[in-house]
Amino acid sequence: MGLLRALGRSVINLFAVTGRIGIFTGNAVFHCFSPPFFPRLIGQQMVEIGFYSLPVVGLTAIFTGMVLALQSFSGFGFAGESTIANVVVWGITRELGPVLAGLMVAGRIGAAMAAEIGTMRVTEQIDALTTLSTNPYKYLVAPRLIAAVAMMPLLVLVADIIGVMGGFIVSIYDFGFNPMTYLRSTWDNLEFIGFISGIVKAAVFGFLIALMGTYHGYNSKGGSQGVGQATTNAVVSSSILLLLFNFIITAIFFAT
Amino acid sequence: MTDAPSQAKIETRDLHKAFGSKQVLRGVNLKIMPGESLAVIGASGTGKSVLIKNIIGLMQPDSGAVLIDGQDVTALSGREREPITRKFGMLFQGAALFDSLPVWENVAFGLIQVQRMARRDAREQAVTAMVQVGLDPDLADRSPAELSGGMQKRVGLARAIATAPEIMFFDEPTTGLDPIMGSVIDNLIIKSVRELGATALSITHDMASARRIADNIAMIYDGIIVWHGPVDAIDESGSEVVDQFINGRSHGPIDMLVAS
Ligand SMILES: Nc1ncnc2c1ncn2[C@@H]1O[C@H](COP(=O)(O)OP(=O)(O)OP(=O)(O)O)[C@@H](O)[C@H]1O
Ligand SMILES: [Mg+2]
Repeated sequence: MGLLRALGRSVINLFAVTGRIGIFTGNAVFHCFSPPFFPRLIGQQMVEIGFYSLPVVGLTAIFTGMVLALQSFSGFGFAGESTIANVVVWGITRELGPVLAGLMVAGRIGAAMAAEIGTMRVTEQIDALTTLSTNPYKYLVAPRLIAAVAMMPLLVLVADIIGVMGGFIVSIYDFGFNPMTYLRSTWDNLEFIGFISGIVKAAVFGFLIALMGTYHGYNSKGGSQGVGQATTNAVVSSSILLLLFNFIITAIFFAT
Repeated sequence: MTDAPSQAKIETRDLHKAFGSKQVLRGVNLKIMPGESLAVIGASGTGKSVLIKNIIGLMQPDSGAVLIDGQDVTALSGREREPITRKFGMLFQGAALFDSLPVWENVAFGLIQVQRMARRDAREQAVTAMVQVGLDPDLADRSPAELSGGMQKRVGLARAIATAPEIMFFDEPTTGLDPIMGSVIDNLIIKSVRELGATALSITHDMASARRIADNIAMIYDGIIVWHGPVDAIDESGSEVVDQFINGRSHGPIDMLVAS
């Protein structure tokens, strides 16, 4: 009986949370498309998300590209330029570029958004915005969503390039491959649909990260402890959603 | 009813608000006339801030109504509420400054975002407002986090009145200020109300300040307004609760629940 009740309660909670997130998402998206817009804030967020994430995304990408080359060389035995270049470019553009960049950005940006907006909530800054006739969805949420959706594809493009470079470096200096041949096979093996699926993933991930960061920040309560909780929830939920949507998008693109 | 009183600027009717099982407001009735300055007094935790938030629309009352200029605004949402919100200026108890913006942009926020003033002009006007509240113009480019509590309070005040709102709410405007700065702020509030013809609702614990800034005083106790009248009459209120509060006696009908 107690078990049943607990089960029932958590199912109800799940529906309640889903509903709240749904309403928040609806509001947030609506305010992304209705004026006034805040270009200055969008610009700030683009710099914050796009530019300042470059080091961490770049480092992640180069090591991933290098390790892919190493693994496929040892895994496939006497594989040639073509195989290794193929594994690297295929793995990076389709999966590892967007997913790893997404997870790094979720940790960096999702957490920062939740902490900043959460602090604004508990110190009544969001209430102050309202009294100054400024809609918090427009001022706080929309610029972050727009900037994240715009910048994540660019970040993933950079991650793709740097990741392929990582594989290139290992192949040339460790395996002594011919640079021109390697680059040619990379180019030949780069498929349009794989690359595009990665960029689409990036935009969706950017949306999910900003949505979870702003949602948990906006709804945080109870002082600094609540803000800490919001930050954790933002990172965990955006990471899980990101992996879920990665599967869904992959299925849509390639499962037939 | 030939000489019916003119329309109240702010009116609350039987306002109720509870948090869980804790009943904070249990039927607050208030009327504030245009150009009137009302001070709400009451012990800590009696719901003064909650009352203001219900009037402004930051909280929804459980029952009862809020009327602004005769219009029932209790159930208005989002877009419908905007023209009402534009009439308001609010100083929060904790200042609630935007810590991502420098001091001057905090003060100029309403000018830039709502009145669409050019940034350069808005800055000039913000600096003027800062001087009015006794802040050094050199602080304009500082971050709010670098200011003392009293300075933050004054930035919050400058922000609240910068757009010359019709209705001003001040939640403990002089708490945390030294007595001299306190009376500077009091004078500024008086001036804003007189010169702009604004209506003001101030919350305060400071009886000296209440006597200076207010035309009328209302005392909230146990979720209702127990006394409401002109400043001059407060010493002869005939209410034990009011007497205890304004004289700061620890014994009386208000039980502070402290071990003695
Ligand atoms: N958001 C909230 N959630 C739950 N309880 C709240 C909330 N806001 C206020 N309260 C409770 O309502 C009561 C009144 O709070 P309020 O802030 O209005 O007091 P106050 O009269 O302004 O006191 P003070 O003079 O100390 O500022 C308190 O008991 C407080 O705990
Ligand atoms: Mg208060």
